[in-house]
Amino acid sequence: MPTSLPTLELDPTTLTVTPNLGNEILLFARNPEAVAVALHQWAQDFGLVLDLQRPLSTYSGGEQVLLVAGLWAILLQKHPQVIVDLRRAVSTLSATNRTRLHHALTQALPQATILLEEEQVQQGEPSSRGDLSP
Amino acid sequence: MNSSGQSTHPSLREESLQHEDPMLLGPWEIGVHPPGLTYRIPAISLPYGSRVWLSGDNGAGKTVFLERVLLPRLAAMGRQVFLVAQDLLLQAHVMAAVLASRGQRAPRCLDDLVMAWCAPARPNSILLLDEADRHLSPRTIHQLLELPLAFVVAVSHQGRPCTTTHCFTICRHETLVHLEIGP
Repeated sequence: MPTSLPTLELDPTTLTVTPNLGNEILLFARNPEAVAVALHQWAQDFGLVLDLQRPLSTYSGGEQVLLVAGLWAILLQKHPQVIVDLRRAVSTLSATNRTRLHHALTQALPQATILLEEEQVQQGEPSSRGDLSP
Repeated sequence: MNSSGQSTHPSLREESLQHEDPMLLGPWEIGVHPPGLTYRIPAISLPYGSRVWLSGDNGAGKTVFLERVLLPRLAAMGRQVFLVAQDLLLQAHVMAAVLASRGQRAPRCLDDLVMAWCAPARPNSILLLDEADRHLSPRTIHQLLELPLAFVVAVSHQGRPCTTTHCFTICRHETLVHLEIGP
């Protein structure tokens, strides 16, 4: 894995900076209208109905991940190289949507390294994700 | 449900429940607003001790089913329900507060915290796990499923836990949600 590249980790507990995707687009997109149109299309491809003003937390856990992954896919299209780390996020997705998301991301971001496999946790050992220590 | 994730229950009705009674669910047709879904749940009788794996696509309505359909009806039946919520990292703070109110020290490890929180469960209690395998180790999930409880429902996208006895799928068509047998 190329380790010198910038890594974006999609964490289902901290998905966005702002309350909804509309604000997220205004904050991060150079062409907000085009990004909004593209995100509507992304959502439609996954069978989701997108409301940009709807608080992200009111979508189901899996829907949140699919929508934010879509926003990243659109925003990162002109980024030269990046690592997109989805390992903490894919556990929220059904098997069907994992496959579809992998396919959609590789189509949208052919230049990116995409990490989808979840880390293996050894039976009987404390899990780092389960540790409440800061 | 109270703020700790445990349902309250009338103690007299609790006493009238036999430990090994089957779990009777439905038939229910229940509207949940928001998000504007209608649940049609058939009449189901599950043997005492059943462990149910509940699957369904993203957005099908699994969490709403657990929190807004199943939990309030189980509580109304006089059942003590422990719900391990999907947002477990947030619920962990409430679990720690509950343990403190019991005079117990809250373990720092999330797996140990959940086990300690569930410790007062009785043989006629019910445990609902909403994607708990996102946060807990496989060993802890196994231990939770092995607790001597009347009924456990586990939502998971990680595949069927080996100790479950039944599989149901939540299916959604537009705003209508129903429960099907099998994945």
